[in-house]
Amino acid sequence: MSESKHSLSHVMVDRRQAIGIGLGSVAAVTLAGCGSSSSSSSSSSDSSDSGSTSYKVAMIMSGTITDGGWDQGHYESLQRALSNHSNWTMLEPKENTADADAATAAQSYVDQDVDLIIGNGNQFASDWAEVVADAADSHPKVHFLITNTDPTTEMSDYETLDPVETVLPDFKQTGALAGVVAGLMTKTKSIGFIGGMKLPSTITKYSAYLAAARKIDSSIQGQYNFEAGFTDASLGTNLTQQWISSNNVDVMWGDASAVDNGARQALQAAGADTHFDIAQPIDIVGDDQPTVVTSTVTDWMISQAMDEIESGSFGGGKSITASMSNGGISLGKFSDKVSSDVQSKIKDYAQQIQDDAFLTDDEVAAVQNTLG
Amino acid sequence: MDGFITALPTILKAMTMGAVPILLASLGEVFSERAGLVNIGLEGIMAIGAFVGFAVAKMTGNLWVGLMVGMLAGVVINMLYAFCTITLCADQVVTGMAINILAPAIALFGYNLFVGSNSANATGDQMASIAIPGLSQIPFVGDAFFDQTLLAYLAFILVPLVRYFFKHFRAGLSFRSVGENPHAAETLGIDVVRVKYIACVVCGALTAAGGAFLTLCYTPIYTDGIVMGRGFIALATVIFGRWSALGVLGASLLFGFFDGVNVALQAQFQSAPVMFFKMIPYIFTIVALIFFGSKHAGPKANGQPYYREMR
Repeated sequence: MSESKHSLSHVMVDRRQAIGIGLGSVAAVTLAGCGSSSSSSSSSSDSSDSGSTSYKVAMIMSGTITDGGWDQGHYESLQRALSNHSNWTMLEPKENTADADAATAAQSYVDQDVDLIIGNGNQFASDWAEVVADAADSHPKVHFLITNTDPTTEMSDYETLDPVETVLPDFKQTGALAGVVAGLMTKTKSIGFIGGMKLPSTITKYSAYLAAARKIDSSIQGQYNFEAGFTDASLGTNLTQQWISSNNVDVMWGDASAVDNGARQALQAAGADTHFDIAQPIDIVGDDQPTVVTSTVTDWMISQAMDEIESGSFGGGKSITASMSNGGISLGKFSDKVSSDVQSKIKDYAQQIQDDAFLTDDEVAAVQNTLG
Repeated sequence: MDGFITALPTILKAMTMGAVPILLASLGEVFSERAGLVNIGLEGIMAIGAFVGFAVAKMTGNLWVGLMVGMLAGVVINMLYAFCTITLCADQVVTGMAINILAPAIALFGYNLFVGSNSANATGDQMASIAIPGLSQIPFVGDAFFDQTLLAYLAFILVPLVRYFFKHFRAGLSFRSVGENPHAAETLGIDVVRVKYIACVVCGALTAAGGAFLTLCYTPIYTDGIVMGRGFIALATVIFGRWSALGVLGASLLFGFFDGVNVALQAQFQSAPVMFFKMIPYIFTIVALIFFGSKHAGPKANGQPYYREMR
């Protein structure tokens, strides 16, 4: 009898358990979904200049608009573009979009006939091939802009590239800008770099960074890690501490979002007057970032994409290059730790970088060939 | 060898910093498992503690208030686990997994509400380290052990207290008897259900404190995924530490040491595949489980639902 009671209660428990788990999972997914529709304004500008055509733009990202790095940089680029395109309306950005959900997220905007769907990063290139093919037939006014993507190598499986463009920053210029700042700021002749993922762009950035620093002082040594990920801030702290103690690193440049934040903690602990950080891709110089001396800032050329859509010239798998000459790459503000003399030298070098007169491709390749 | 000696102080510093969140969570799990509850939801509870601690500290400007409220949030989340496993007698592993899915989603939802488009809220304050005069100057180990945040010191002080509690307090013995044989404990007048609920309160609070350590002492930011598997490592350290406070301390430090070695190797051998070094702490965890994860070790009634009427 007691045995049958037990087995009966076990069945009851299993049902409750199943319901509980089911509800828990649904709640989790719902909350995550709600969470992604953050309190960001759904529109930064009212469309409807009377008489002009109105357009809609939407952004899909794997992080959040306040991640202090990659996605915040994209979001700020979008805000800048909207500020001079009053006939465009921004829909709620989709944050924390996992790879598995990327196609669904894009499709939901396609169904709303959004004129421009922006994917923050090359992971969306591999996720959107089918959505783009379907949309090209069924929703001809929908366009896709995927950043940090080389269409020739990363979109070769696309049936059509008619509604697609990509943006590629000039990584050599970005790295060179950071390199001259590092070269002029380091006292120990030892500089470091943390990248989130070992991508060709990451390697080019670091190679140009070290090559440019060595143009300032050929004795400068570089330390690097290309696979730190983007979330483990403690790894950034520990790695930087290790480089400070073992290699005397005193200037860091990072390309790894939250991990960069950890690196800044280690620099601050070692002394914010002697250890410096160059931030990217947004300008974060300020009192709350005592180690940051300047930032390499990337604008994702969304404004140009909007202009092309309005004029009907968007698409065909073109790649927009973000460079110093079109405002796509720039240096941010300087902190007061950068003397006016150094600032003026940096500006001179920046002009040479913009004119492609500072660093040759061979010099960048020479560093690249030494990397594992 | 010279390189290792140079790197050793930083490895030891990384060891102690890395050990604290795992130690706090695994001490919480010791309470839970001593009372017969295997809680694999530590990862989720740590995420809640990390976010709530960060957000409340930012809002109030007081890190300790942030810590306390973070611990309270951990208790609240763990009450879900307690209700499902103690009152409803649901499967502990499945419920723990549900907590691991639900809790980080709640934390992310809260983060998006809290930070939203206000990036000023994205960075919080950080607890300062307190160097113990004299001791912090000891070569190699001084900086690692005696220049820590107050929360880290408290975590280490907790170890002998927990050990003393389980060995010498009547309540500690009650915990152990509930984990070994709850029916026998009931006949001795111990309220098994009450003890299990108290275990869940302690487990939720300590685990959440481990999560809050990440955002209040390690880095002043919260990111989705900041816990990085430390909750699961804490589960392994409880087994490796043989369900004792001292054992858990040793296991946490050992894991922290291997994590520090991993970073030192990444820093020095830059052209080598980084993923190989990143595996080191987890290989250690698997090896520890192979050698110490015997089915017959640990509290006998661990993981089993308690039916008061059953004989």
